[in-house]
Amino acid sequence: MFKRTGFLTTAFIEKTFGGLSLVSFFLLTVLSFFYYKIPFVLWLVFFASLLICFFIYIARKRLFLYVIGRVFEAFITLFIVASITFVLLRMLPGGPFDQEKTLPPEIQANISAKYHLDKPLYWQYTHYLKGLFRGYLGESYKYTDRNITDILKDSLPVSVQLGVYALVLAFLLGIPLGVFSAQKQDSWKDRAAMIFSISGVSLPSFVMAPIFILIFSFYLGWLQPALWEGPLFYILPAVVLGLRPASVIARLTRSSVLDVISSDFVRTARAKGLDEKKVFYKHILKNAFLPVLTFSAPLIAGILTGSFIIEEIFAIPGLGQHFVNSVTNRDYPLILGALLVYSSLLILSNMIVDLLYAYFDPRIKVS
Amino acid sequence: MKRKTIYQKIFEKKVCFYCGLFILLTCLVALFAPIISPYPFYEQFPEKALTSSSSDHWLGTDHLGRDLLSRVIYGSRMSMAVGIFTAIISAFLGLIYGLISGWLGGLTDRVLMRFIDIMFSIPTLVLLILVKVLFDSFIVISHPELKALAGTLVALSLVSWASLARVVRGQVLQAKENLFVEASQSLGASSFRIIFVHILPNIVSPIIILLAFQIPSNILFESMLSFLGLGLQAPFSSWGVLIDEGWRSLSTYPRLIIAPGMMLFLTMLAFNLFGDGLRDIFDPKLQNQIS
Amino acid sequence: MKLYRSGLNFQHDSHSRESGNLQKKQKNSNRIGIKGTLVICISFFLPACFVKKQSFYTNHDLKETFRYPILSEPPTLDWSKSTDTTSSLLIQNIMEGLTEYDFSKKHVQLKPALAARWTSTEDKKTWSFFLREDVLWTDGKKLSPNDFISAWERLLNPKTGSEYAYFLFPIKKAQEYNQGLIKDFKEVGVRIGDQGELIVELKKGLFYFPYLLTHPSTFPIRKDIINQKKSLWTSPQNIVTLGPYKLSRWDHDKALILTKNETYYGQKPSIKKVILYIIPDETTIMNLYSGGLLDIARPLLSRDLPFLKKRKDHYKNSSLSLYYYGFNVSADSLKNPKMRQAIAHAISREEIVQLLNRGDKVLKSWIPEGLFAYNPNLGLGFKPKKAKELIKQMGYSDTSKLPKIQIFYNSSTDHKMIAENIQSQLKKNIGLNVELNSQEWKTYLHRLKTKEVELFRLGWLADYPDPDNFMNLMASFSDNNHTGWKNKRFDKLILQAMTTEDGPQRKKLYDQAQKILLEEETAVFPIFTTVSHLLISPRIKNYPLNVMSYILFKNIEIVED
Repeated sequence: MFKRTGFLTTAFIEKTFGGLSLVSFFLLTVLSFFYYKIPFVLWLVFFASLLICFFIYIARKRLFLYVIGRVFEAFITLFIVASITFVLLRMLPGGPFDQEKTLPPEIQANISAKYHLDKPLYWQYTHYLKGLFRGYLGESYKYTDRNITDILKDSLPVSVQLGVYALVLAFLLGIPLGVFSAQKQDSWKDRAAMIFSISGVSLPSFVMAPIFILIFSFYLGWLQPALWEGPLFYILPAVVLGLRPASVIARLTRSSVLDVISSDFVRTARAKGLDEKKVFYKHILKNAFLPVLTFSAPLIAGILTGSFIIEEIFAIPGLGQHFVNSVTNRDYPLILGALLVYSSLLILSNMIVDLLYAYFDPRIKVS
Repeated sequence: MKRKTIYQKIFEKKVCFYCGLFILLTCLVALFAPIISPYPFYEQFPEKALTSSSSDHWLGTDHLGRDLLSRVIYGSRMSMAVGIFTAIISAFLGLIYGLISGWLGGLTDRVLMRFIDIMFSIPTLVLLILVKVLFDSFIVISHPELKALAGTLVALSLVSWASLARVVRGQVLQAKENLFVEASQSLGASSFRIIFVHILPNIVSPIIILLAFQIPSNILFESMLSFLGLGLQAPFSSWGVLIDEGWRSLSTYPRLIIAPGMMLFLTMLAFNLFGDGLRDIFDPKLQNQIS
Repeated sequence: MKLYRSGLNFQHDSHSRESGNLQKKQKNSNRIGIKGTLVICISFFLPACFVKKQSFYTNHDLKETFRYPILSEPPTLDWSKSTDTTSSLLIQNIMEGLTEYDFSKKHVQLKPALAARWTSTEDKKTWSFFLREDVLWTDGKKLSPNDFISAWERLLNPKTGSEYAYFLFPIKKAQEYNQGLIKDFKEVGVRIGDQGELIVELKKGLFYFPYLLTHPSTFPIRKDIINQKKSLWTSPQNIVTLGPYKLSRWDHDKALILTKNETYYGQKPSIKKVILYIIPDETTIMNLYSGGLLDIARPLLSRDLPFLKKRKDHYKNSSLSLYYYGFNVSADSLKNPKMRQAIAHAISREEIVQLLNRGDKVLKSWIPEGLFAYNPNLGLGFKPKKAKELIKQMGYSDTSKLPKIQIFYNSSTDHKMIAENIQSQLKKNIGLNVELNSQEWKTYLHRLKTKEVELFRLGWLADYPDPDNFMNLMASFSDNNHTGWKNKRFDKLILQAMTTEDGPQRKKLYDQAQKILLEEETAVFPIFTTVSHLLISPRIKNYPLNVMSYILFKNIEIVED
């Protein structure tokens, strides 16, 4: 039975673990969506298989140096992002402890001294960087008993949870829709799908959310208008967040499938007499996925770190709200922390996407 | 066969043509808002607050008794102004940046592109808010309409030029490899001459297409800022301001959100479809670079 | 040429035959891989997976649960450090102070809480508080007067960086200790008497001192717990309190749960569980209330009121507060008192209140209704003719020559509406051109501080129910006086009234002071007292409505029909 060549090749192990991580990822998503307890083992399996798969992939493609280089670059980028925003933030008028009832000067002095706000700016900057170097993001000025790491630890998972639902929706809806309308090019089905997707692109979330709330929770009473406590609560925000990327992905997929269909190598493959299905999945889809992949990197980072508007409208305790609120509160460490999370996620997903190019199109060499 | 002009091509693409018409119409409405709108956008009829549509007020009135139709019409003025002016400013910035980066190449190119990468790794909304707050607190303008707009305009332009710069750079790199550029270089033409005579004409069409996509995204961002309460200064209205007001009374007067939401949606739709059409006409291969 | 991702170079490999072979191999292994993993997953995990998570928020008995919205995550539950209303709301329900408000009388009075009784010397300089004997902390320890001393020491300690430390500044040497001028807390005028009573010595006589002790910043603390757990002491596992409720869960940015404290010394609350949802958007609160997921909808947006006012579940609550416009008297356009008076005469408060349509009470005087010394006859009213006359007196025969005036306010719907209305009134009534300037909140505060404003809006909510809290604002020594207006006569009257007991004499002092502030000099223009609105679900009884917006859950009852 198992006499096939290359049973224990790296490629096979990689596939196995890749499949394992994919399956556990879907299991995780489904379980968390239906509000089931998630066994710790599942997390372990997911992360372990993902890591193993990643390392084998890198080893197989001999990309270690490339990854190390990218990580090094990432640190430099993060450092520059932190510096730029630090300066920009400090240029904003008003301080974190200004409020409607003005404080007596001696109390202001005590507070400034406690948070080192009385020190010169360069001192504060180096102090912050020193902390950053040790992995310490500082203490929140607004939530005085919590440090930034704790706040991020509390809010990021919620945003990631919502983001994953939205992303799953975006890919599961967008790609089939794009493929479908490419197959039925210029028929009324294609038109309908494209009208749907261009509407999705044109309908901003802050219009979509109120209208959906109006329809699905006020008039029909099916879903809850806000909060974050179970499937009935998850659906609306996930759909509102996911519909726009789904539409973009559908459009991208359609046009790139059409592109690939008319390309030389597909014609060659067909001329060779390859099975139509095989041609489609092996050659067309895999290649057509590349532009979607390019689009995915910023999409993933943006969606996983939460959207302020959706979190505000649906009262979701995620990270997105901190991006705006901490600027209005002048909570410097919190905004810096949130930004660093966003930037690292962005850099990470960019890197992974770049690595994946080589997977989807073996002609491409990453260097 | 006679070569078709661009206008003929646009006319042939029905969807594109109608969308262009719609955009033109919206622009005209925005331009002639003071003449078209039945009431000034700030005029309040407190006794008629929150009435639904009637012969006096086609779309009804808002919580201050202001005519909603007039506010939507004036809203288009602000929204379109932000969309178009921002697109022009950011196109200008992006063009220069992209030209420099693409033309000089080498280390300059890498540094400039790295800077764009860094800009992209700060969330747009945060950058927008930072720039907006900074601008509003430091720069004082006395012209009321301009004052209402300026902060949003500057913030949006400073945020949105980067993606344009990237595309321009790509196009420049592409054009640089063309034989006629090499030829004129070897003939001793100056850089300026080559850029203006050979490269710029080649990248005009992608820039126009990009602009068609930039405008709706600018309108969207303006609406978003206004929705967050960081947008226009009172009493000016934009679609975002009106949508925000509609959201505020969602459970009591849901009809307030319909008209501005619809206008925003239709305009975005028109711009997107128009952009699609333009791209199909000018340069079908551009698809994957934009979006 | 498809991609221009920086830092990456894609090279198209022309030898694709090799990779084609590789693909074939991969395809075969692919099938086994996915099947295998599927089998492993299904057999191992699925049985373990079907355990539904317990929700702390949806699994509750509605008969014993009260669901209340708060607008933001409480910044801290450490009552030495908290300053905002959300934190205070929570702290007031899990803790108690020496005294407590009594709203049953016309003016707010005090009733004993942790202190069974208190006495003072004739000059109101030395106060003694006798503690109750039966008060237990949630960990079973008895309340001791030392808990107060350590709380006040912590509050005043400069290292704590507490914003409300100034609440105890009336105490002898407290300010010096807070400034770091003296290091030993023993010098501060607080000590324990022979009978275990708490003796407080003040700098000078202050007859309303016990009122200050209702404030959360003066509540006792458990120093041992704080020393042990450091900044984590406010987490539900660690916090030790003594109020009618205790904190049992705190999911940051999401919700807090309070449960009944079984060891509470007073009458135990009737509701077992209070869920406080953190919902930042008022519209969302309204949506959730409509969906039956909240028992209270608060705050309501003024634009909804015409609709909501007709409903049966609608309630009003007036508060000791003040919404005013201040004149920056150092601005060129507002230097002349006549100009300020003209503006004050040209604005109809009734129109603003009507426009807002929230049922706010028009306020001409500086001291709001509900406080001692409230006098509705003081202040400048709406007299457009007089306003025009004043303009003429200033030498502007032609109103077009009037200087332009700028109104500053922080971006918010209601402030915007008021500013817009004032703009149109001033234009209509005296032909004054006004420019509006909305600013983001912190920028606005910064501008107030640096006096880069002309006409500005602000509000004040009473810290303690005494007119001093309001009159003090405009004294030259007040940090909250952003007008730049200074008047020695006014200061003197205020200081004198501080030590005078309530009575006709004190009222006279305040009347005189208000006359200077509002009529002679017109440094401020009070507009109205805020009335807040809320919706209360019919299943809730005894929801506390009072002028200090002091919301204690302990008296609330639930009736199920």
